[in-house]
Amino acid sequence: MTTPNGPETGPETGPETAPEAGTDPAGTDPARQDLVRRYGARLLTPARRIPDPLRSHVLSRRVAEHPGRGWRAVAGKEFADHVTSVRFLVLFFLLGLACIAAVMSAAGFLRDVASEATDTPSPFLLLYTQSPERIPSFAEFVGFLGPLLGIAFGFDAINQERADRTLPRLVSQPIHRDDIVNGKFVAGLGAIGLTLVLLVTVMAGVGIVRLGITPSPDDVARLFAYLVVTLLYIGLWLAFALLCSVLLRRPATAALVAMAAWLVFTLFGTFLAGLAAGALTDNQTDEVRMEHTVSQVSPSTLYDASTATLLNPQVRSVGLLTAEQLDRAVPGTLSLDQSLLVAWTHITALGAACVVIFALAYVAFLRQEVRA
Amino acid sequence: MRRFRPTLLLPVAMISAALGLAPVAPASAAELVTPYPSVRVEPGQDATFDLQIFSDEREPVELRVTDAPDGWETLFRGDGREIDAVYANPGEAAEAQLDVRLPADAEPGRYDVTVVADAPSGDSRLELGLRVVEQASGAFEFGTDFDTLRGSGTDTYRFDLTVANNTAQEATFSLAASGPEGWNVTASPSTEQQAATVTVDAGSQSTVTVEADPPDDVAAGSYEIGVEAQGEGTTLQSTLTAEVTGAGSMTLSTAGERLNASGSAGDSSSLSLVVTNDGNAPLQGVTLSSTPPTDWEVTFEPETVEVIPPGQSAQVTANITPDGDAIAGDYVVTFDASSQGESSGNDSVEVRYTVETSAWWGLLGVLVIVAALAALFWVYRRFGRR
Repeated sequence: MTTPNGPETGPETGPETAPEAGTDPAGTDPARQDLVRRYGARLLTPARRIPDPLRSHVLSRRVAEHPGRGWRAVAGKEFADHVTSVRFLVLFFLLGLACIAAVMSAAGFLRDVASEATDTPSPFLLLYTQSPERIPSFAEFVGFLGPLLGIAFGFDAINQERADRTLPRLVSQPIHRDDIVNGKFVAGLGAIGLTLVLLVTVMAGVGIVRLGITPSPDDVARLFAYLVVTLLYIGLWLAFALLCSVLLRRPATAALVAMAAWLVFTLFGTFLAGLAAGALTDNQTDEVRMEHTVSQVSPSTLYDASTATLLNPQVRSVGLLTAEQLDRAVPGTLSLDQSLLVAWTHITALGAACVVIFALAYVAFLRQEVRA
Repeated sequence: MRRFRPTLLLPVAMISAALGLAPVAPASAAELVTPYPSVRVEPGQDATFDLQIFSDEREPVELRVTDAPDGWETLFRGDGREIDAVYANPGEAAEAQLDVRLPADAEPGRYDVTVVADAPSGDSRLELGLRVVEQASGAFEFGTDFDTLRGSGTDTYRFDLTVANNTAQEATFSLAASGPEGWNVTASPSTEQQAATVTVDAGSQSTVTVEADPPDDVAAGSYEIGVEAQGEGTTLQSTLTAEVTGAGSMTLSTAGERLNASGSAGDSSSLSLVVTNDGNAPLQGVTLSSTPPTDWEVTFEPETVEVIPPGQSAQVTANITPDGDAIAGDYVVTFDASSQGESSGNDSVEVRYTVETSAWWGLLGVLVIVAALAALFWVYRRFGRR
């Protein structure tokens, strides 16, 4: 929320809504007067932007009836800032270009092996997971670049307000103090979710044009589950960036720390896990098992395993499989609920990590002193 | 008894010695002998007798045949020349040959030929017996174990003939062979493909190979091939038969020889296939089948072509409906054509079928993209206005 609201921005809202919404704090509507008295004119800004008078009224009333929902106002404003920022556009097009390259190359590959691909279960999902010609697949790109999205929307959430000295003014609004951190987190999630949904949808459109097939209901359900898990994973990084922005005073430092963590977990995670496993064990078999266990500390490992399970019905385990376990196993496909069960531990671990990190940021923010 | 046996045998031994010495010291003047006075002979053949003339005197001996059946020719030879007389020396046999040439129509039976040696010291007669038997075979003949060969229109027919020489002389024949219009027929000795004549030793036989190559468009049926061998005042003829069986042979291709086709997933598209009968027998009941990818549907119009005459072709339209869920891209569809009956044939052709994104799905995909971008635009309108 880098743009502080002031009397100078209020009158600039659309003239068509002005009479109804009432920019004047001393409006004639008693409910509106009450609202303004309790939350300040600033909180009416999102509501005023809705051209429809009726909706504006409803929203205002809902805010009025539920005083605990101040985070919505914060989130709305923050989301608007996000989507109109250069940061969002750059990231969106960066991810978009990478994903289009990935999907086009996957589609070209699938066209070449059309007859084999048609016989595989869920051929549409191959569009998101195939990586021929050394171009990473859509899922790999999102898994790698997604955390960047989370960091970008979170690293300056609190400390920038501090640096701009707008935080005291924000806290002085008639909202709960946790509404600020909640709203900023939700706004980040919203921007990330918007990006992901748009990317997956555009890629589906490209896939339909290139492959000539439409996703089956099961494919759509799997894509939806994939989106939710991806949102959890990127939300984890958003929460971490938020934590950094709460704890560290300078946005640049926060960004650096968050990105360092991202690089460590994403690029060096496997390498470090191997080192740790080698140090902890002396047996070859144990080392492999230990490396797998240690690597699960990294959220990117959890994320990769769970999305691989969700996007490929043929994956039936997220763990290590020994030859004994695969003895007489017939290759088959899992239904979505079975895939979800297979990946469930990983998904819950991701969700738990996300909640825990956000909770840390929440507590840290609430305990901080906000000086004018 | 033992004592008397030599005395008993003595006169016998003396008689034997006197007989053994008899040719050397004949009682009469000239004597005519031959080792084999009686021979078997076939009509048309020559019988040759080796004659020896002995005489105590040094004198000429005139030879003549006094008694021979009508139409028989006789001839005396000495050192390759025709002779009428020989000169006899004492203690040494003068040699001559008598050739008796039988007419071809000589009846079987026993015949006598009397030869007289007329010398100044005295005459000598020699009775020669000839047993004429039924002619077992001609003097020269063609023979073959297999005079009819069966094969397809693309085969080369190879006949092995034997030329038998039943005479006492070597014989040479020039070979000629002829066949139906369009056939390439050659005859040559088996040992030398380039030779046009064959030489057969007396009393033996030689092999002649006749090769007949039918034209490519030969129709099924029987073809006669004539072989002639001319020589020794006679012409040998033989007729061989090549039975060309009807071989069904077909070629399956697409109209215009293009081996690719395209269509949208779930939509039917047609492909013209051409079945050509390049065999020499009509193809009966030609049916087409296909091996498409899973869940594809391929039908043919017509399903069965009743008959395709040789050299003709029939057009069949294949309606191909790719699976509605087929990914756009290239697929291989194999078409097989086969016919029933004796002269059956079959052929197959692989067609590369490109499944294209149907216009509706393409539109849907574009709509999805447009909807996503519209949603982004809406978010901007909703939150971006200040």
